[in-house]
Amino acid sequence: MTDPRTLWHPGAARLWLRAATLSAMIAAAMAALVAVLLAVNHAYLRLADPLDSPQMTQIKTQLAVAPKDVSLRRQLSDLDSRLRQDYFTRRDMQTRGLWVLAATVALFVASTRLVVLCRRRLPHPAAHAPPPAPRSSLGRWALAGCTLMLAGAAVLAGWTTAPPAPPAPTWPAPAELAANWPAFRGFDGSGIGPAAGSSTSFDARSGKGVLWKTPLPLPGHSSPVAWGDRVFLTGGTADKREVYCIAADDGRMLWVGTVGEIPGREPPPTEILEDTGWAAPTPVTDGKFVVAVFPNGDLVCYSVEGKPAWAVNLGTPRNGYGHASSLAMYRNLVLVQYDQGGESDGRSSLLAFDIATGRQAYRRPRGVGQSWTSPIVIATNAGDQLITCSNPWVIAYQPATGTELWRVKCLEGDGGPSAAFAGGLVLAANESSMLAAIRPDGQGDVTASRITWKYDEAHHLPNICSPVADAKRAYLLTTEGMLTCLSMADGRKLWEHNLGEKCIASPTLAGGLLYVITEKGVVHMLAQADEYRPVEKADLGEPCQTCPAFVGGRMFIRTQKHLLAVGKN
Amino acid sequence: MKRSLPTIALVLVLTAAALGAERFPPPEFTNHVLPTTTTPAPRSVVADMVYIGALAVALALAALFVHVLRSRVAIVVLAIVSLGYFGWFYGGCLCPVGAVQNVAQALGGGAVLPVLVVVVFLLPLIVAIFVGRAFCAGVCPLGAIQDLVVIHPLRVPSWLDGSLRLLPYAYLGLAVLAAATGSAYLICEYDPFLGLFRLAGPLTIVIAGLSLLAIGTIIARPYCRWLCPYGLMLSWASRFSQRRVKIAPTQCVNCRLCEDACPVGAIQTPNSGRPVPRHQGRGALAATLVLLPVLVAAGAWGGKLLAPTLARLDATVRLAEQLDAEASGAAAGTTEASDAFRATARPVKDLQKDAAALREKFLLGSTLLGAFMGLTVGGKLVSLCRRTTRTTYEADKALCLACGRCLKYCPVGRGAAETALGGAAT
Repeated sequence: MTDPRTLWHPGAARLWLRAATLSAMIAAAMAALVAVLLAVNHAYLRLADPLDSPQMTQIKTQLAVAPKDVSLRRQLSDLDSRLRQDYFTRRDMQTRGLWVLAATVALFVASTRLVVLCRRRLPHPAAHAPPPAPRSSLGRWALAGCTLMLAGAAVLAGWTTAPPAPPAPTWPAPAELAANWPAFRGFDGSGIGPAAGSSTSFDARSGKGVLWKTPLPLPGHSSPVAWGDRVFLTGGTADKREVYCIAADDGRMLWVGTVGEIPGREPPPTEILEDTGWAAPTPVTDGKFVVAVFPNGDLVCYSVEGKPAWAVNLGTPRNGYGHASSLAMYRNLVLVQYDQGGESDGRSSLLAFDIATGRQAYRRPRGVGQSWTSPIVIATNAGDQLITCSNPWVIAYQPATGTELWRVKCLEGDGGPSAAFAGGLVLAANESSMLAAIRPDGQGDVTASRITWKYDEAHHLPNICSPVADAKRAYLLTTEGMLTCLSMADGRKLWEHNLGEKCIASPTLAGGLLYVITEKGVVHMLAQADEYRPVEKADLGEPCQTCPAFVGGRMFIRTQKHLLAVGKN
Repeated sequence: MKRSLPTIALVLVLTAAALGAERFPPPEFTNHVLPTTTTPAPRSVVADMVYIGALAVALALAALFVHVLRSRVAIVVLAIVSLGYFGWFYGGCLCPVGAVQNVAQALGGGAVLPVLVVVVFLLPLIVAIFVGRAFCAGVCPLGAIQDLVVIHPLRVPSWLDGSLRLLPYAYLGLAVLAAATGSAYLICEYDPFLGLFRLAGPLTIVIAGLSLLAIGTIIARPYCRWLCPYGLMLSWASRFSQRRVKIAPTQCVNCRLCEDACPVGAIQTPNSGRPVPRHQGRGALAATLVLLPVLVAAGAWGGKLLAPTLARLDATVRLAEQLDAEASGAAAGTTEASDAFRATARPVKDLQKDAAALREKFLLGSTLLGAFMGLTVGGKLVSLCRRTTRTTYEADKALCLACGRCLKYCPVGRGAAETALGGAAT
C-alpha cells in the first residue's frame, strides 16, 4: 500500500501546486464570467418590464379603439404568453446560473486552499519576538470609535427614515379662497357669497347698474369663477371647446383657450342632451391656473395668463345626459367626480390631479352609477372632507388621498343637486327621496347614526337646483319654482313660496340676501328671514341657468349669450 | 442630493426583500386560472424529532471531536455534513440563531413558543455551558460555510477585533426588540447566507453573503465574530464551561508553534512581558467604574431618542406614517400598502391607535436597548482595565469557535488524534 505522504514529496508537491494554480485560475475565470452573465440577466429581469413592450402598447392602443376585435385580442394574448415565457425562462436561467456560480466558486476556494497548502512553510517562532502586551489605551480609543460609529449609524437611520415633512403650501390660504370665487358655488361649493354682496338694484335691459356686458363666443351652462381681476368660464359645441378669461374691470376678453388635440382621446359621446350641452361643468382656479373639464373627457389647464399648462383626456364618460359635474379644488389638487355608467359597471371614479403639473395624484373607484352632481370641499371639526352625491349614496372622502371616510344612503333617482354645508351639517337632497341633514363624522356606513333630521315633502324637493343654507335656515328650490325654507335646527318648514317660474340655477346667499334666478332671467332677492320677504327684483334680459359669482363687491352672472358684471366701479 | 444618497442606500438595503417580489397582472384574454393561495402544511412531529435528534448528535460529535479526538479533520467533515443537512437540506431554517427571535417574541407576549423552538434554542446554549462553543465548531451551517472558505487568514489587531465585537450586542438587542414587539425577524430577514442555502432570495442579500464569504477567505468567519447574535449568547454561556479547548492536552511548553494558528484571534498569549503598573490600572478601573452609570444613562437617553426611528421597523407604524404623509400632502403618492389598507375600509383611527401602542413599546424597548449598549461599552472598558497573569498559550473560552486548527500545531498532543482514531502514529 502506498504511503499517502509520498504524495507530498517535493516533486509531487510542485505538480500539485501547478495543477491547483491552474485549476484556481480557470475556476476564477469561469466564476467571473458566470457572475457577469448573471448580473446582465438580473439587470434585464429587473429593468425590463415584459408587459411594457412597444408591441404590446401598440396592440392595446388599437384595442382601445376597437375593444371587441377578436383578432387583436388573440394577438395580445399570444404576445402576452410569449413575453411571460421569455421572462420566466430567464428566471430559470438565473437559478441554474447560481448553482454553476456556487460550483465554480467552490472549485476556486478548494484549489486556492490547495495552493496555500502546497506553499505552506513550517512555523518558525524564533523568527520574531514574543507578542507585545495588549495596549489598553488603543483598545479604549477603538471602542470609542466603534461606539461613535454605531451612534452615527443610528442618527443616519433616523435622518433617512424620517417621514417627509409636509411641503410649504403652494396653494392659496383659506382666507384667499374665501375672498375669491374659485369654483362652482364659491370656495366651498355651498353657494354662500361674501357678506358685502353687491348692488341689488340693476336692470340688464336698460343697462342700469350693469358695469359691463360681454358676449360669449360659444354656448355653455358653466358658471363663472373669478379670482382677483379675472373671470373665467367655458363654452363649447360638439366641434369646439374653449376657456375664456375676461377682465373683471371692463369685461374685455383677455384670452381664449381653444382645446386642441389630446393624445389618447376617445371618440366623442353621442348622447349629450341639448339641455346639458358641451360646457356644463364649471371650471376651477387657484389664481395661478384655471382648469376645465368637458363632456368628452377633456381635462385642460391654462395659466391665468392663457398659456396652456397641461391636458389629459379622461376617457369618454358613459353618461346618458352628458357630463355636467363641476370640478372642485383642494390645496394643490383638482378633483373630478367622474360618475358614469351603471352602479355595477365599475366605471365611476374620483380623480385628483396636481393643478400645476397635471400629475394624477389618485384615482378611487366609487362603485356608483352616473350622476350630475358636483363635489364640494368642506372644513369640518373632523377635518377637511370632500362630499359627493349620487344614487343612493352621499360619500365623504379625505380630499388629499381619496380615502373614503363615511357614507350615507339617502338618495334616489338621477342625481342633480349637489350638497351644501352649513351649521355643521351636510345637506343632501334629491326629488323622490329626501333632504338629509348629515353630521359629517364617523366611519363607514353611518346612515343609521348621522342623519340629524330629514325632510321628505315630495313637491318641495329639488331635482336640479342644489340647496343653500346658513346656520339657521335651509332653502330648497324646485325646477318648477317652488321655494321652501326650513329650520336648520330640526328641519321644520318655516315657509314656502311658489315663484311660478322654471328655475335651473341653484340659489345663492350673499350680502344677507337669498338670490334666486329664474330660467327667464329674473333675479329674486329675498331677505334671509323666517318668513317670505322679497327685497328686490332685477332682470338679466336673457334666459339664465347658471349661478352668480361674487367677488370684490361685484356679481358676475352668465346669461344665455353674455357675461354680465353688476356692482360698483 | 447629499441627503438623498444615504437615503437611497438605506432604502435599497431595507427594501431588499420587497425588491425580490415579482408581481404580474393576470394574463389578458386567456382562460388562465389564477392559482389559489395555499398554505404549506406544518412540519410533522417526526420531522421535528429527527431535526432535534440530528442537532443533538451533531453537537455531541462536535464536542467529541474537539475535546476527545482533538481532530481538525473530523471537525471539517462534520462541518461539511452539517452544511449540507442544516444548510442546504433544511434551507437554513429552523436554526438556533433565528430561534432567538421566536423566544423574544414569545416573551414579548406576541406568539406561542413551540417546544421544538425551545429545544433548538436551548440545546447549543446548554452544551456551551459544559463544553464551550461546540455548535460553532462544526454544527452551525452559517459558521461551517465560512469556515470552509478560509484560505489565508490574516490576523486582525486585537484592539480592532475587540471593538468590532461590540456589533453583535447592537444586533442582538435590535433583533430582540424587533421580535419582541412583533415587528420583524431581522436576523432571518438579513441572514446573509440564507440566499445561498436556498439559491434564491433578494439579490442584495445574496451579494452580502457572497461578499462575506469573499472577505472570509482572508479574514476568518467575519459574521461569526462581529455580527452573529446567537454567537454572542454562546460566548456568554461558554464562559461558564468547565472545559475549554485545550491547545496542549497536558502541560503547555510555550513552544509558540500555535501562536498564529487561530484564524479568529482567540488564543490568549502569555502576558508576563510588560504589565501595566498597579497604580495606573487601579486608577483606570476606578474612573471606568464611575463612568459606567453615566454610560448607561447616556445610552438610555440615546435609545429613547432613537425610539421613533426604531418604531419604523414595524409595518403598522410605517403605514400609519405613510397615511399621515399622504393626508398632509407630504407624500408624493400612495403606496401599495396604503392602497391595500384603504381597500379594507378599516378606520384609520384604529390603525393610528395600534401604531401609538407600538410606539409606546418601542419607547420602552429602545430605552432599555440604549441602556444595555451603555452597559456593554462600560463592561468592555472595565475588561480593558483587568489585569490577568497568564504564563501559557490558552484558548479564550468566550471567543474560541472550536474550529480545531490550533490542535494540530501543538507538539504536546501530536499523535493523540491518530492514536484515538486507531491510525499509526510516528
